[in-house]
Amino acid sequence: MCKNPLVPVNGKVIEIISESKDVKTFRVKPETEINQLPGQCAMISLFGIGEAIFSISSPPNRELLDFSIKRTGKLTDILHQIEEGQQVGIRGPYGNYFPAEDMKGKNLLFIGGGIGLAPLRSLIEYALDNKDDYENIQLIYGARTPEDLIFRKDIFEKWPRMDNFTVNLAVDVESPSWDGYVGFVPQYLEELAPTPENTVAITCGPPIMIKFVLNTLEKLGFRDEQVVTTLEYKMKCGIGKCGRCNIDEKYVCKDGPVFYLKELKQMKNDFC
Amino acid sequence: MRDINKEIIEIAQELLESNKVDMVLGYTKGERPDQTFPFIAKTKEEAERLTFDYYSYNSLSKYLLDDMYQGKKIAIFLKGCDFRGLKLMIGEDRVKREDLHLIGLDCPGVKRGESVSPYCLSCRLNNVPKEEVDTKISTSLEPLVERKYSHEESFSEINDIEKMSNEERFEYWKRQLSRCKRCYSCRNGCPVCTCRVCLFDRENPGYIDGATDQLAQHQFYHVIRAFHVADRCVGCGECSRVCPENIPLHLLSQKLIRELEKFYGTYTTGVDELPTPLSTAKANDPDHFGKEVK
Amino acid sequence: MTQTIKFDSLSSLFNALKEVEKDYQIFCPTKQDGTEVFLPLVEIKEDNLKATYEILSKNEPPLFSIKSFLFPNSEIYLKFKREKDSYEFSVHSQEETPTVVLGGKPCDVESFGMIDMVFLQEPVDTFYQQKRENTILITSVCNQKGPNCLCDEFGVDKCKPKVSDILLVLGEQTTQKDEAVYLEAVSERGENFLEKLDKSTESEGESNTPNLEGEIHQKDVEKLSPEKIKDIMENLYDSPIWAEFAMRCLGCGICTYYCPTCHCYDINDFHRKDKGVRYRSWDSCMFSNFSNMAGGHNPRPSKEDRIKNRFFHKLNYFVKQQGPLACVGCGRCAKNCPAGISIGTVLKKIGVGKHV
Repeated sequence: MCKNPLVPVNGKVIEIISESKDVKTFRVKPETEINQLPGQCAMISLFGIGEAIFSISSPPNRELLDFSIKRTGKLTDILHQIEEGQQVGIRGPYGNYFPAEDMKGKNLLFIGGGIGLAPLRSLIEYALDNKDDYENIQLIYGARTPEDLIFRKDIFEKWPRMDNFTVNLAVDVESPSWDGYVGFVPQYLEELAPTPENTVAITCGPPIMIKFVLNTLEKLGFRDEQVVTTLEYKMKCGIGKCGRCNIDEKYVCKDGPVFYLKELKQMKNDFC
Repeated sequence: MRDINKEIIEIAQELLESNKVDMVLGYTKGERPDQTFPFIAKTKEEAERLTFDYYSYNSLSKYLLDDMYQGKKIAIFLKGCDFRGLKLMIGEDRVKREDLHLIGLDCPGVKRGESVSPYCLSCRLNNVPKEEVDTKISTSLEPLVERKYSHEESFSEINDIEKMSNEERFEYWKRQLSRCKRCYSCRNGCPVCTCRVCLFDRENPGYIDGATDQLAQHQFYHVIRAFHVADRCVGCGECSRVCPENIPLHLLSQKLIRELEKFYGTYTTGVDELPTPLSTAKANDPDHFGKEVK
Repeated sequence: MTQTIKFDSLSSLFNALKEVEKDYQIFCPTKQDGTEVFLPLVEIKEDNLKATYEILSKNEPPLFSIKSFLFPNSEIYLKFKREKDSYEFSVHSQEETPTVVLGGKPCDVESFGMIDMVFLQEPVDTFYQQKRENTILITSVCNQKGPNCLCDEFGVDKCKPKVSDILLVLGEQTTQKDEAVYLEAVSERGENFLEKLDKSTESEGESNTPNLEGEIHQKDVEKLSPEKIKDIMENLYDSPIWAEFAMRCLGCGICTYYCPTCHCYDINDFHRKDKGVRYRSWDSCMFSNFSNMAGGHNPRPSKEDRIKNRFFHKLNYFVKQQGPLACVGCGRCAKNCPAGISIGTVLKKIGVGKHV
């Protein structure tokens, strides 16, 4: 009898990076290869505590899987207390993946808010791994305060130094340590007004931010086929059987979490 | 005798047309003759469907706690037990009296199948006092209960169970509760179970888990709930009526009511002053810790 | 592929079942405290048989569906133990003894066809699959619809369900009107089991199943078209009817737990000191915290959202995902809902179905 999809394999947390006061990146080595594509997720569990789904923020072909996790509930609270070397359960990959093939030869516009940068990062790094396949990359990323910005090495040092890569950062509120843009990401996006010409926009963040960003992109002239987002819903099985994460007839764990705007618009249910 | 439905519809229509209320919460008929459900009428036409009969079981006051009714002016039809449950909600500031237009009814008892519901036999407070509501329906239906049980007689089902030995009693309840499916209908239908977030709805509580078939957890849930509503129970019997597995949950509450009487004397929820006996502590509270009370 | 054996009475069938008891886990319906339950054969005494006969002969499904035999209310699937600094975990071994479930009705077994579509789709849920292959379903047939039944509307053949192993026909239901019991195998698994039962002295041997009484093949209602219902629902997403249902819905789990086609579940861990388990258990989309996310966001915050989601799943989403309407017309929602909301009431409200 083949293995049941709910059964995990062992994984070990090799490194823990503190991204902000409530976000940590856990770099995990699974016992067996997960072979994920950018945008896919995996279920992480602590035996005796519980299991939850997290997007993989590292690109494929890396030795370790990165999970950037915000402390919000029971499991994540305890996860934030573990140490390097901790054993975890891991199963995956789940979900569909970013349509990276369809994006070839185009400019990539990433719009992220808060922890929403985590799933986007897998595609950003993938695009950088395959630089010749893509044109310019622009990242518009914001968080509530400067301390809440994550992947600081990437956003402040690595990415701005790359050719054809523009990084625009914003924080919601004024802060003494911040001399960059102050305002919400959708506002900033509107001001920067990137061109929709030969561009794909990929966005992720709190549901309300996604809503406004989608409106703004439409205003800027982006067509529905040019906009992709990745959603987050409560999930338990990850394989479309427990009936929990559906938006209309689509399961976010199986038919998502990546959706084109065209698909979202066809959904009767508001995803947020 | 004036048709009670006619009176109900007239009163509801008057309240709606004069904009005294935004909606009227009452009952309407279902498809089968023994089906009557809660119903909201917002217009004169919808009010034509209002009714009241021997199958008007549901406790309407419970619905007032739902989000969709906040901030609206509502007229609500109340049987005796329902009215007392609502008084508890008003006294505990869960609903605002000024947002409600209370329409009191004299309840003739409700049927269960072909006979009168067992809980109605011992109910002595089926009539809503005229002076405590805004409108009183003057027409009454023929009462189903000829002779009301005395206070002592209302505990007769408990007496039968107490004739069993401790072991037999435990087996009885284990057998009854083994059928529980943890649908939580008993809790959701109870008019005095009014916590904003129920203990058993918390995320990841350590005291109960998700499995819906553990007998020990059924016992835990039902006994805890019985204790939580012990001094608040209005005797409507909804807990047993809604239970699809015919578990006599009202007996747990009845037993606790009798036990409480030994400590605090008779307390009638919705009639006697608030606070209810268990929701406060006084210096002269009886303290029989560890000693059996006769 | 039909092989039928005959028993003189229900009592002799039970005696024959008792003879093979050691190789199987057998469950039969009966009454306990006036309520219908399924009990293991060993707990069914001679004086329970009257209630069992009643349940098998009436044209209405038993109170609770037989869903839990293939998809248990709670099911441990991982066991773990702490060894020094790490956890050893293993898959909890599933029950090996084959199960026999006597007494679901055709609607009850047809629902497994729908659950199969979800659970046996890749990636296959092996726990369900194993139980499915290891369980023999003996289905008692109906002569006509019961008071809440909608089998005809949902395409369930009340005399010959597609998903079953053995059909149980009581002589009383046939034109012969006697006390005999006929078991007719309709699958290989069924045939194999009947062979074993036939070895008993209680068996009267091979027989032909007499005809059922009444115009049983005449259906009084047309089967509903999934496409048509799906299209009607599409236009009703913003309709006020969902608010009307929501206002009296109690938000309990009765409809979902009693429905034979509902299959939502939750996954949780439980541990005490150094040992623990991971299990899955039934959950209900009608509960307010079903889709609650850590952090507080809930995509279906109101009762209206949830009740709309449930009926859309049954009459629209499932059609898009798998093809049929996700209902077998067993009538349990109609019988048990304390607020009188059922698939029948919804169908009537959306303008379909007459005598629901």
